[in-house]
Amino acid sequence: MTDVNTRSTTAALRMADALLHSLGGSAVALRFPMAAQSGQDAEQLGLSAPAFEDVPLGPAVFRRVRAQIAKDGMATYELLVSASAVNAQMTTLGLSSIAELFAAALGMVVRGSLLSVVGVTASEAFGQAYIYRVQLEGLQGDLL
Amino acid sequence: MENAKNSFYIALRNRLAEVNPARTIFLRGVSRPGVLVEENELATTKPPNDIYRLRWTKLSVNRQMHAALEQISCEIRYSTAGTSANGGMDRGQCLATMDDELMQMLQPCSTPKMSYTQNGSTAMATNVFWTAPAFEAVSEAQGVLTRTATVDVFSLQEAGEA
Repeated sequence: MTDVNTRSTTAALRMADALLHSLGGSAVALRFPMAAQSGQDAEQLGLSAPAFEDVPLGPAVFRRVRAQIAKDGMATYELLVSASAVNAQMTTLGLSSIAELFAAALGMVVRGSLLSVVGVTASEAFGQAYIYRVQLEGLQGDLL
Repeated sequence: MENAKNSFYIALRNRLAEVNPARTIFLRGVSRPGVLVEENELATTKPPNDIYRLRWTKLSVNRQMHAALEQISCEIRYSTAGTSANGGMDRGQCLATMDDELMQMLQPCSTPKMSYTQNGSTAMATNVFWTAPAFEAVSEAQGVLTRTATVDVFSLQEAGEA
């Protein structure tokens, strides 16, 4: 018998993914600093930079918000990203929460520009997040 | 000036490891003594508590001597919310402990100047030396006590140094 339960927890996830794909479905990436080298003075003195790793997230939709009300030359952007992609990366990285995932990241790489993560909110259905709304901040002109 | 700044930081870091080995910070997967130079780390909006954060500020050079005397100010900032086991009610005690540890770290007030590169360090001919710390009044915000101590660090410019 076919499952027609509209309260399926995965239905909202699939619907969000389909919606994001239909709106462009671009891929973005979370940038993480690699682990520091233990006992290395050079890194603590700024003589050598740590390596970084970009973890892809998608599908996602990126847009600028309140572009004209930017302060200090900064513009605010909004990213809608699939919860299934975020959850998968969280599991892969062995993190226990979304807050931990975004706090560990240096920022988000969108179209080659690194933007700071200002905040993350989740849209939920039946107690499960199906889409994350990520507020980003970056210099005006970085992403025209 | 980079050699003086680096030598000062390394001296404080190594002295902190002796003064209080338990004061550490877990940064990018590695545990190390709880002192860092802000400009050498990833930018953050929320600085960590219970460690020392060094911020280099004013710079001046006196060229009236046989070798140029460089002077750079170092703000040493530290904050504490106390311990969660005591509900933060011991934050005053924790700050006093950090005051005391800092004074111990800054004594003696000199260290050999070293030249640091990605591959290691070599000793230079002179010492880096500094003034006694000038402690500012404590500020409090949302249960977190913060103090800044300023130290002026001096160094003679050696041959080959910018």
